[in-house]
Amino acid sequence: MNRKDLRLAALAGALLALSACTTTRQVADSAFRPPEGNYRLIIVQPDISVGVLTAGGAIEPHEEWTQQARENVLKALAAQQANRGGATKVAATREETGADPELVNDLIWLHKAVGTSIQLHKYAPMPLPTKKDRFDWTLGEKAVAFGAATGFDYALFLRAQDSFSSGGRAALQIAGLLTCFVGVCVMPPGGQQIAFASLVDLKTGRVVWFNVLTSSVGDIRSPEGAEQMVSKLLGKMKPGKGVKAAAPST
Amino acid sequence: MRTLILLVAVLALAGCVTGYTLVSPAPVKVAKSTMKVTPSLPWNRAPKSALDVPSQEVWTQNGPLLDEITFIGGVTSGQAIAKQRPKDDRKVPVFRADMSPQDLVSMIESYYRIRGGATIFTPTGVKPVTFLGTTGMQLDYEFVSTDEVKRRGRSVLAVVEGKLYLMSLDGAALHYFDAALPEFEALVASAQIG
Amino acid sequence: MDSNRRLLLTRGLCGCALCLVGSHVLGRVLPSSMVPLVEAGYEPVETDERGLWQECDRLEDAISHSNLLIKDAGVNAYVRGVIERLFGANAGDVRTYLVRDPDFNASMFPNGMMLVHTGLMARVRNEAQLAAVLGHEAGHYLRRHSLRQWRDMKAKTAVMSVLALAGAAATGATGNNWYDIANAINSTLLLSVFQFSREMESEADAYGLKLLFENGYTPDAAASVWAQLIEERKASAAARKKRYKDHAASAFSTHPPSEERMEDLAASSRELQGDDGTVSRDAGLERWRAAIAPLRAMLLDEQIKLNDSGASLYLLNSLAADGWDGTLKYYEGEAYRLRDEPGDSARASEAYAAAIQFPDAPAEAWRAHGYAQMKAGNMEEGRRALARYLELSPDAVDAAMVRFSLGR
Repeated sequence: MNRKDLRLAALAGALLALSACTTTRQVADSAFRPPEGNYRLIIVQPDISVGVLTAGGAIEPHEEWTQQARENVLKALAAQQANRGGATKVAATREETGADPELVNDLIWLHKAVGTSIQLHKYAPMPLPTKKDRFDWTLGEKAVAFGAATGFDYALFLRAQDSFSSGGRAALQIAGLLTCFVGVCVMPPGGQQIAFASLVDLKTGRVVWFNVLTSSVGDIRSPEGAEQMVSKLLGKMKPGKGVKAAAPST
Repeated sequence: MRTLILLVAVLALAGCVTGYTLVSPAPVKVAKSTMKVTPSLPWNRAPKSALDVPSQEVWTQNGPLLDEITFIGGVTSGQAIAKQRPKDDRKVPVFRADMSPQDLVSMIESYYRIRGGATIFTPTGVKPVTFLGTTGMQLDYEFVSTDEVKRRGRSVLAVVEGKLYLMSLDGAALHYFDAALPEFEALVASAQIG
Repeated sequence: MDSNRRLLLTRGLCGCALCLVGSHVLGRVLPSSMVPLVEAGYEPVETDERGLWQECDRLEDAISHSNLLIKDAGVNAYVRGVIERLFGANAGDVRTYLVRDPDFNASMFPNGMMLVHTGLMARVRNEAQLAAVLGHEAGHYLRRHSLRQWRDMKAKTAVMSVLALAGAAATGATGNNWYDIANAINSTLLLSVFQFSREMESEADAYGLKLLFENGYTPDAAASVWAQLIEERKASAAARKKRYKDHAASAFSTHPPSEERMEDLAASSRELQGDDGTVSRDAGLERWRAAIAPLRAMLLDEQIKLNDSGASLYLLNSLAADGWDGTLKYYEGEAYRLRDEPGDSARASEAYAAAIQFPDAPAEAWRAHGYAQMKAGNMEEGRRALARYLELSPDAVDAAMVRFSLGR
């Protein structure tokens, strides 16, 4: 190791120490009120995966762990929503949503672009001046049509990724740190839990709430770990700024 | 009509993050040219990319993946609407002042295929329109790039004193294109040179 | 709207695109020595292989809903037929997707997903050439190369960070979410550093030849399709005054085989044909042409509009070795029109004039002829041709514009 490498390693170590925790950052429509009472929520093709971090730093997908995590996360999510009065349906495929699969397909691809735009312009350092105090991305009229056709009030898009070395939670990769230097931070590819959730109000088509979670603790393969993650990701939905100003929630 | 990847790559290379800037709803000169338009809404002006031609400017409402308006102001005969190197394998045809309508259409199509990553590009309408006080052309199209989002686009262009002036709107076919179209049409109608 | 390489990047994790590496240190692999290592109906057992399949299944879910697939039932059934001939008992495990992508490529995944690019379909001249490429991919699949590759890589890898950076820079803002980027980083590793070994490529070549031969195709189709690809790349480089390099392609596109592999292919092909006395060898030119007819104009259009003039003109001339027709002549004109070098408008004009002489000339050839004539000052001839275009294609999307040109 030369001196530069040492400095980098020290920096990485410092970051590792700092990151041994869970952080979330949510953004919401200013008129957003967290769903309550009798509502119907559909989770569209939840994407949950767990991999093994190999010694060389690559992530190897792990089928069994993925299955465990998927079951536990979705179970925890349904229980959490039920506590608020919500009925949750998980649609593993486009067909299972009960709507025209073509329409669902269009919405899924559009949501991908919308979710990426939210990340770029609300999380990464590329803010849009006209959206400084606004959070008003939408999936548009087709999302409203989807809600009308299926009777759901909200659609939730969910992704969660985690990885472990065979011995347990792995160390944060230096690569994860370095990639922050190129303008857009890329989540470390290994040993880190990453999840994002995007809530669409199917009455308006708008993405009303968005949250990103990163964590270096917890294990979504276990029921407890999954519950923890779901609770951190979706348990503390803050109402929008407009709502808070009108009626401060205590 | 620009690539986000280029944008970020350039930001990274430049070592400085120049972000989006606000365009106020008032008459404004665009694309380093004499072309002036009057937006009725505030817009976000995208940071300059080193891979754009100098006379190019991009605005967006919701982010370039969802909607964007591109202005190209005053490309002279023999220049291309994209910055490119002699050794590039795939080349956007250069603009010529005597281009026929079909030449202009295929120039724009090649731009989308080469620079925009469009693997499917289908023109849906080509017709003469009035633009910048002269007879120009309006091209409507649908396209899909590898991010799978179905998009629509409209380019309005005219050749004035041998120079090409172009305005285009791209947007997701679901919602975003239609949402931006009235403002785009108003911008086109407001456009003037001088 | 960048040229986002997400699918391709992710593909690297589980797919095996056509590629090459290595020096000529091993002996030639004999086609006769190739036996399948995967039985029909195979399901993965080991943990790592199951994980790999799961990842491929996720990718397949996305690809099966892609907006870039060719939906034409006839063409899909035709390619399926070729796959069934080549894979035999294993064909039931293979699912084929025809993808709109102008790059020459085909890829085969361990879970049985096969992608065939339109860039490949645009370039092969007959069914045997298509079968040669698909047979090569079948070889990778039947010899379980992606799994071997994956395990090999795991044993060797220790170069994560540097490559991850490259991956992140390349994909950091391509409109992907972080999850995809993370995956892409890992895949980049696989794609760019650990290409299939020389040994595996030789096996796939040998296996492909064996499948061609056993199914009655002429085995020299393998060497000829690769030779065409190399010639095309040379033509492309020459047109831009660049030196042709075997390895010049980026990490994401394919490399044609090296000289050594070409020699091996030729030698094996000669041997196979030597002991051929009973089966009649078939290139399947007519079958290929009939099957591809509904897509042919689109396939050519996709290439020509990229304005890689050396490659475009090589491709057209290579296809025309089996005879010129109205569509090929029209696209020859298009290639010159887009290239726009001195003398090209005359060349384009000549090609359009020739195109409209063929009974199968597309309506667009009349439009192109019309505008070419008008530019050259032959207004009457030009107007006649544009009028003919409107007659043939009254609902053309640009009818209003052409009518306007006619009125001037």
